[in-house]
This record gives sequence, structure tokens and C-alpha cells, in this order.
Amino acid sequence: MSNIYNESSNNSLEKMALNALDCTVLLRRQSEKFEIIHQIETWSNIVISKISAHKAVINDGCIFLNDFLIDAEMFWAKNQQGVLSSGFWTEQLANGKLMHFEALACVTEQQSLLIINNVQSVFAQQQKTLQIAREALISNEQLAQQVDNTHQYLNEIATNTDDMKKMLATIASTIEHATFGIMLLDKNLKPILQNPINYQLFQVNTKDQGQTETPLDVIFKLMKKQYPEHERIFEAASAWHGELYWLAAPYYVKWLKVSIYPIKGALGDVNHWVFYISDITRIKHLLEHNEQLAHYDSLTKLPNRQLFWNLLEQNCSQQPAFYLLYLDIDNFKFINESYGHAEGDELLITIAQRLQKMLKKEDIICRVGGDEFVILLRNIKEEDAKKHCLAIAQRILRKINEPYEVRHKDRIITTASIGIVHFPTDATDPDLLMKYSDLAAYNAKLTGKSNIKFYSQKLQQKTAQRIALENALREAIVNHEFSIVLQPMMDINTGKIIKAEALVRWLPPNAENNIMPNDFIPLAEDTGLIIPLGKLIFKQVCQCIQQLNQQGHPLTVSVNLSPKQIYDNSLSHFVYQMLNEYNIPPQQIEFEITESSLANDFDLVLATLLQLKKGGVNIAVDDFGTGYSSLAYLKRLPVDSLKIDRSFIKDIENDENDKAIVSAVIVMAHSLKLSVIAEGVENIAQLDFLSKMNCDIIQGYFFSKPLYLNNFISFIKKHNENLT
Amino acid sequence: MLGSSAVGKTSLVRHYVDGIFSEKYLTTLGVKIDKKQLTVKDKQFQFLLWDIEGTDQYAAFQPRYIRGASALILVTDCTRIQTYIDAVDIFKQARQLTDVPIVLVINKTDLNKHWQLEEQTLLDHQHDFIEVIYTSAKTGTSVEQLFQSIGEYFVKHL
Ligand SMILES: Nc1nc2c(ncn2[C@@H]2O[C@H](COP(=O)(O)OP(=O)(O)O)[C@@H](O)[C@H]2O)c(=O)[nH]1
Ligand SMILES: [Mg+2]
Repeated sequence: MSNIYNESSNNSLEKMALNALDCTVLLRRQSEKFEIIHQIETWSNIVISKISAHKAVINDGCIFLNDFLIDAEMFWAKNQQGVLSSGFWTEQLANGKLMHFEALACVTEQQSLLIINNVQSVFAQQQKTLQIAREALISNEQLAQQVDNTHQYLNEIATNTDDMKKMLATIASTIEHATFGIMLLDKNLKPILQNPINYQLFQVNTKDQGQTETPLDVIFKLMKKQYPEHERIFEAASAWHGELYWLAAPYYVKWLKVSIYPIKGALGDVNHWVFYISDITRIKHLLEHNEQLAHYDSLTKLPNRQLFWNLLEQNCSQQPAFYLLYLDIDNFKFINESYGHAEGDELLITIAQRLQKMLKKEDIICRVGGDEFVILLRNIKEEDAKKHCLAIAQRILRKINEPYEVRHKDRIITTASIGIVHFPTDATDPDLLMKYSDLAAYNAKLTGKSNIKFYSQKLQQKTAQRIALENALREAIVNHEFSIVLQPMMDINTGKIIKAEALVRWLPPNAENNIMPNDFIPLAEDTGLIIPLGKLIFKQVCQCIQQLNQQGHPLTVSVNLSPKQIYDNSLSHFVYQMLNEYNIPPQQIEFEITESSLANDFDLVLATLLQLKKGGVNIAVDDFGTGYSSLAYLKRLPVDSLKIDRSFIKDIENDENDKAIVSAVIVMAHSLKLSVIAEGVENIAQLDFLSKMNCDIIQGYFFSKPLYLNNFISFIKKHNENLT
Repeated sequence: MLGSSAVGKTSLVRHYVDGIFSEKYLTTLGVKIDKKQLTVKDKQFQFLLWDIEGTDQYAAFQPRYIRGASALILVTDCTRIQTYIDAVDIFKQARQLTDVPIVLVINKTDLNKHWQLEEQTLLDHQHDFIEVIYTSAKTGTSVEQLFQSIGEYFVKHL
């Protein structure tokens, strides 16, 4: 091998091989000077100029190749075995003809070579493939854009027109001439409007005249079969996009791209649904020319949804048991929006690579949606199988949690949720397996990010309960089923009641007992219902304060703000509008924000708080000590008081640790000129200790539980009488 | 010439260099370099126009190709908003590597399906470019002016 490129080498076989490869081979002698090992007479003069019989330089006019030499020289200088490619480039000949080349810088056996390949046929072949792929990509993109524009427009009409008749008329005329199918449905999924093309899309010219299937029937039937895991979109009121394969017997094969959106009212309740349907058969057909493009996801190179479905069906028809893991990236949308799509793509590629590396070769991994992957774990040892599966899932989550370096050298952190089903224990049919795994993943996500959930029947019941509770909560907001209770706060030094915390109770009409905030506020926060609920509560608090003022008790009332409320940019405006309406001085309001909401996006929280604070309200940090807000954070925030979390107060008489923490927090807060409130004070010993430590204000059962307004007013009256 | 695929990079070069336009789309692979002489205010320029394969999910952005560039022309298609989003992305990557002048081109203005870029968004990015030019490789609108403006920039700044 060592001297095949030597001048003396006359091995005719090698010559033949080089000729067949259609390449010119140069041996680097010194910087930018080459010895000709082999050349193709018909075209080598396009890229090189001979300076003697066996010596050459790169042709001046060949700008691309000269540019590549800079990289090549650096590569040769390292003198490490390997190949560096220039990528394809094109030269136009004097007669207009185009030629395509690729240059390779190689180091073999201590020799530096420059190989120039004529890639005419490879180029043509790749161009054909890419041409198809790109045309399909662009058609898809244009289609998505049209659907998007139309939806934005319809959504605006539907949410902003109060007059139903007028709304329908406007929508009907808008969708009449659309180039894709559009259906408007009521909230019970009954069609109200469809445009002409929608009927055409679903028209089947078979001899079977008794065709009774409506377009909607067809879509539901196909969705049920092909995307069983997404059946819950109608219960959960989420948007959905997918591609349906329609085999309308016996001659029709159609690919439909379907987008479904709920149209929501102010409370997030669904008023209508819109379906957008386009025929993408042609695009699909184009892509199917290329096996690789049709069955593999072009981004991650993993099997795509279609191939996955085949594989799943195969596996379900065989006996060996397997686990199906449905993996969903938790905050992918956020990453895409805040870092850019290219970074999002890069992240997906890396995730796919990490997953692939962790799995055995008999396992299967596919990308089945934008940020969704499915893994089939096969050949798991029967003994302790579930434990093994859990261990693997945990390993996967850990791997995904590792930081990602994307192109600007940013470090992105992301997490994923995993839902798991077992074949054949949980289900034996592919549809159900997918549906259950999605349900499990959905629940994993609800329990917080980066979680794993195995499917169980209980899980299904829980999901149904949750959806029922969400609907009840939505109605409760409409029907004003909430009331406010006030828990007094006492100044330790004077014994006076100077503040009260407003808390909410939910009393459903037929229920015997109140529902406590812990049982519905987290749900409200997850679903975004906290925004209208928070406004309702605040309004009721204002009404309470107005009454207190009228009766001569102008106390400050503190109100809790959840993280979502803090991120709602209409908050400040609403607050001051209410204060104005009820004629309440801003000093009488104190907002309590939990320490953990500071951790999310400090700058955003800071901006909101500054804006609130500008109008004159007070701000307290709640649950202090449970999160990780540092002193540095507190210094920068416009905060007036700190509430020490009840968990530190509970054992304060006995627990030396708690004692030390509480006294340190009080000293620190005072040095920042913040007043300190201790909550959950239940006995005199706790009060004594807090008083000794110079705590300013206490709140707790020792003193009073939360009271309805009338009781609260009586309580203050009695308390004040006792004081004097 | 940078930008997503099918925005008209090749067409702009063809129109400028050869004065021709073709409706048929033939996707570019790798690189093709064209030469063109230009005179601005008695100064002679030799433009080497690097027509580069569009960046998309089939082809990544290649830092190597812009290494020696004196100016970058970032092309978008006014009928596809996604091409503008991609352009902002390419811009960010290119700026990490070079501070040469960049011109933003909004091509295919002969078609009337314009994306609605919020005025503000474009304004926010305006100062990133030495010029924002609306062109049509089909009718030739402002194609000459595009390259002329780069020449003028060099006359003024070099
Ligand atoms: N109507 C119109 N079509 C254009 C224009 N510029 C390019 N095209 C078409 O857009 C497609 C892609 O053009 P091409 O130059 O190959 O794009 P590239 O991938 O960016 O090089 C071709 O079908 C062109 O005919 C334009 O200004 N107006
Ligand atoms: Mg091109």
C-alpha cells in the first residue's frame, strides 16, 4: 500500500481503478505545489494547471478549490490519518456546461494527498432526491402557513363577535373560497359550517350509493385507528395536528393533513372547534419515491411514525412481552420559541443520539411526533421486569437532563416525562397501547416535570376525575361559588391586629363542605384558570376591604399571587382598576408571592413586581425558607415583608436548628428593613420565642383561624375592647 | 448568498450575471461561484458571488463558506414567513463568525402574497443590515441595485 501513489507505480490495475473512479490525484510536495499521481485528461485542466510534466498547481480560476486549500493545508499540517471533504461545488465551462466536483484532502501513510472527484452522477442522483424533498417541504410549509393565517383570522372573528348570526355569516364567507377543507363545529362536535372543498375532499365515487359517512365520521374513524393516544384532545381541549391515511375502498388512497383547534371563551371554556383538512397525497407520493425519506425522520434519522406503527403491529402479533415507553419533552415549545428553531432541531438530534446510545440493538426507538419519542424495550428479563424497566426509564431521564451545548455554546437544560405500558398485561392491541402510554405520560407531566408513570386503571380513573374537577371549577368561576375568609395578623409589640390574610374557600352548590384551596388552586394553576379565578378573588377581597373600611377597620389585607398570575401582564392594570373602583388606598393591599415563583424567571418577576409596587401596594415573600431565594435576590426585589414558613415554627420550642434559622432570618430581614411575619403560630411557647427574637407580626390558630367577614369584624371588635 | 432553500438565491445571481430567469426550480447542491465586474464612482470591483445551497433540515449552515466573504446577502421569500425566521437564525450564526456588511433581501415581490411582518419586527432588525432591499428575480426589480448598493458601501467605507 505504502507507495501506490508513487511516481514509479505503474500498476495498471490501480490506474484502471482510478480511471473508473473518475478522479485526479495529487501528492502535496510543498505549500500549494503538487505532483500529479493520476489525472483525467478530459477535465483535470479545469481544476489544475501543469507547470511541468508531473507538477501542477491549483488553477487560479478555480476559486472554490483555492479556498478549500486553506483548510486542506491546515489539515495536512496536523499530519493525522484521515479525510477532509470540501463538499460539492460546480464549475461552469466556457460552453455553458456544468461540471460537479468534490475535493478530498487525505493523509495516508505520512503522505498528503489532494483527490479531486468528478461527482457528476452522484450529484445528479442527490439533486433529484433533494429536489423532491425540498419541494415537499415547501408545499408543507406553505400549507401550514395558510392554515395558520386562516385560523388566526377565524379565531379572532369567533372570539370577538358576540352576535352568533353575524359571526357565522362572516366565517362562512371567509372559508367559502379557501383551498383546503374547513369545518366549524359546536362544542359538542356537531358541524355548524363546512366549506365546499371539504365535501369534495371526502367525495368518493364508488358504485356504493348508500354512502352515509360524513367527512367528520371519516376523520374520527381514522383518528381513532391511527392516533388512538390522542383521543383525549377533545376532553382536554387541546389543539392537534396529524396526518391521516385514508383507504376509501376500493380505488381511493388519500393522505389528509388535519389540524384541530378549540376556540375558547374568556374562561378557557370551549365554544367551538375548527377542523382544517388538506389533501397531501401528492406531497406524500413525492416523498415515497425515496424509501429513506418515507420511513425515517429526516431530522433525527430515527424511524418515523409510519414505520413505528408497522413495527408496533409486528411486535403485538408476536408473543414476547415488551414495555412501550412514551417520552415527551417537557418544555420543547418554550425552547423553540426562546432559542430558535435551529437550536430546537439541534436539541432533538442530540436527544435522539443520546437515546440511541443507551438502548440495546434489539430495542426500537422512533420519533412519533414533534417532541415525542417512543421506545420499545424488548428482551427484558422476566424476573423483576418492571424494576428493570423503571431503572432504564430513570437512566433515560438522567441522560436527558444533562445540559445540551447548542450552536451558540449556550447550555440548554431540558427534561422529559415518560409514560409506560406493558404488552400484553396492560393491553394487547397497538391502539390501546399507544393510548394508555400517552395517558401515563400526560399524568407523569402533571405530577411535575421529569417524571415516570406506569399505566394502571387507577390512573385512568384519576385522569377522568381531574377532568371532571376542571370542568366543575370552570363552572364555579362562572357561578361565583367562592367566598373569602380572613385570618388576622397581630403586631407582637402592641397586640393590635394590623393585617389579615385573605384566603379562598370553594363551596359547590350541592356540597356539604368547603373545598380547601390546596385541592383546587394547583389545578387552577396548571390549567390557567387561575387567571380568571385570581381576578374574581381579588374583586371579592376588594369588596371585603370596602366593608372593613366602612366599619372603621382600615386594615391591610394580604392576597396570594401564584406564578401564572405574576406572568400575566394584565395583572397590574386590573389591580389598580379594582382599587379605583372600590376606592381603596393601595397601601391596604399586600401581595404574597411564594419564594419558589422567584426562581423561575427572576427578571420577569422583578419587572412585574416593580410595576405593581409603583402604584403603592405592598409585597411580601411567602413560605420563606423553603425555596432557594438568596439574600442577593431579596436585596434587588421591592419587598416589604417576609413570611417565615410554618414548617420552621412548628417545632421551634424544641428544635435547635429551627431556632437558629428563624433568628438568623429575623436579623437578616431587619438589616434589609423588612418586617417579619411568622405564620402557623399555635401556642404560647412559640409566641414567646418569636417575641424574644424580635419577630414583628404573628399569624396562626393560637390567635385565630381564618374567619368569614362578619365573624372577622366581631373578632376585631372584641379584641380591641380587650386591649383597652 | 445565504438563506433557506428556494428563496431565489440562484435566480438573483442568474439574473444579475446572465440577465435570465427560469420558473423551474432546480435545487442547488454545494456551491457555485460566479464572477461579475462592477464599477462604482470610478472604482472597479470584481464580485465573486458564492451561491450556496439553502440551509434547511437537509443541509446545515456551513461556516466555512463565509470565511473569506467581504459581504453577505441574506435572502428571504416574501411569500413564506418561515424564510424570514430562518434568516434571523442564519444572521445570528453568521454574526458570530464575521462582521462584514450584511444586506437583507426580500425577494419575489412580484408575487402578491406577502407575509405580514410587523413593522416593529423589521425595524428591530433594520440596524443589523446595511440595507433592506425588496427584489424580484423574475422581473429584475432592484436586482442591479442590490449589488450596486454593496459596491457603494465599499466606496464609502474603504
Ligand atoms: N415569482 C418569482 N419567483 C422566483 C423569484 N426568484 C426565484 N423564484 C422562483 O423560486 C424558485 C427557487 O428559486 P432558486 O433561485 O432556485 O432558489 P434558491 O434555492 O434560493 O437558489 C424557482 O422556481 C424560481 O423560479 C422571484 O423573484 N419571483
Ligand atoms: Mg439555489
